[in-house]
Amino acid sequence: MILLPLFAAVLGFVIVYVWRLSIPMVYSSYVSVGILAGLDSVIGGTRSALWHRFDSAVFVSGFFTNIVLASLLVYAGDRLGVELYLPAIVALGVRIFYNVGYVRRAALSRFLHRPLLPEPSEVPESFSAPPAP
Amino acid sequence: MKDSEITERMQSAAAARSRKDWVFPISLAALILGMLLALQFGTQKTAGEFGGLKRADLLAQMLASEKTRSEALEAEVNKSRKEKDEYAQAATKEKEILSLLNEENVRYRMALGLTPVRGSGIVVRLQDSELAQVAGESAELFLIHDYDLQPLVNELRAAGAEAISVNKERITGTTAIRCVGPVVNINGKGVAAPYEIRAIGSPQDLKGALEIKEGVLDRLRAARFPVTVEVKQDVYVPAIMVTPKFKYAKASKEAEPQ
Repeated sequence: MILLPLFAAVLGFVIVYVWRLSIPMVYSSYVSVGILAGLDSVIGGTRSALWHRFDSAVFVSGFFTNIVLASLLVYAGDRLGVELYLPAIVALGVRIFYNVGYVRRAALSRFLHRPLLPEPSEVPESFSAPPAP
Repeated sequence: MKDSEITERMQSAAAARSRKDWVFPISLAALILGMLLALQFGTQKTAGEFGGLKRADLLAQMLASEKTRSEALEAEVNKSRKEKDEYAQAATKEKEILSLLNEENVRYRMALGLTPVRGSGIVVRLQDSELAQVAGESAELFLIHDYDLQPLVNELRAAGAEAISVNKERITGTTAIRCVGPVVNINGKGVAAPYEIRAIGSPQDLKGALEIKEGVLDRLRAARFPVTVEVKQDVYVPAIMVTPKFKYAKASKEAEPQ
């Protein structure tokens, strides 16, 4: 069940690879940034699933929006003569590393039977601040 | 106690629901992601192989259209040439002076490469190297290039060749020998291995010029290109297909202006 996304990714890869589909070289930078955005969404989705905050509507809309947005950003950068794929790659890369970190922590807590701590950013004010008298 | 129990149950129920929910959307996204990855993978691989564009298709199309164009132009050339010959013949019939002019015309046409010529000379046959491609070495090393043909033609001219052709392409005063992709372009036409270079002139002089020690043929043979030189009493050298046009140059009767 947990391995299903992995199988799906392999399946998708094999389907397209066997069909020998490819896109013109000029568009390859858009696709590569799109891939990065999609990867970020999938890892982010996994993270929220592990913290029981997953919302499929948010996830699916975010997945497609991010891919399209990232590709559009790079396209706009190409038109304007600014290499906008660099900030896109940096931003997405940083997010991917953060999200992988959270997924790793959740996985560790699961396999080592440690309590799953709430995400630092998700700690409500009331927990950290002293209760009002 | 009771309240907290209820919230706990609600939380675990919500957790169970959400756990069930996430697998399918994420799998869908992963499927698409895998497809995109393969797409990009294929593109990068193709880029390595062909330089990105769908060149095979494109080139085939270009070749077809160029071929039809070239055929049409050749037909036109032949037609004009025939007309010209008819005029020349008519002229010789009319007056003797014109016959003299015509003789002169023939000589100039020979010099310009407008008429096919024949006479004693040599035929050089040249092929791409038969050496198996060594791993890691570029195939370029085993092909005949423009810079292999140029010194050969140059050497033949220096040895007094009166007419030279490379694979049916006459070498004239306006001929360029130049690599375009995998073929050599001569007179704007692609020629490819095996190369047959014909030259009319003194066979001994021509052969000697090529066979000289450390000369053109020695260098080609050192690179293991199969080369043969044949002396023939009757070598046929074809005419240039397209008459050179003078768009910028004009005849000048004066000496060089000061």
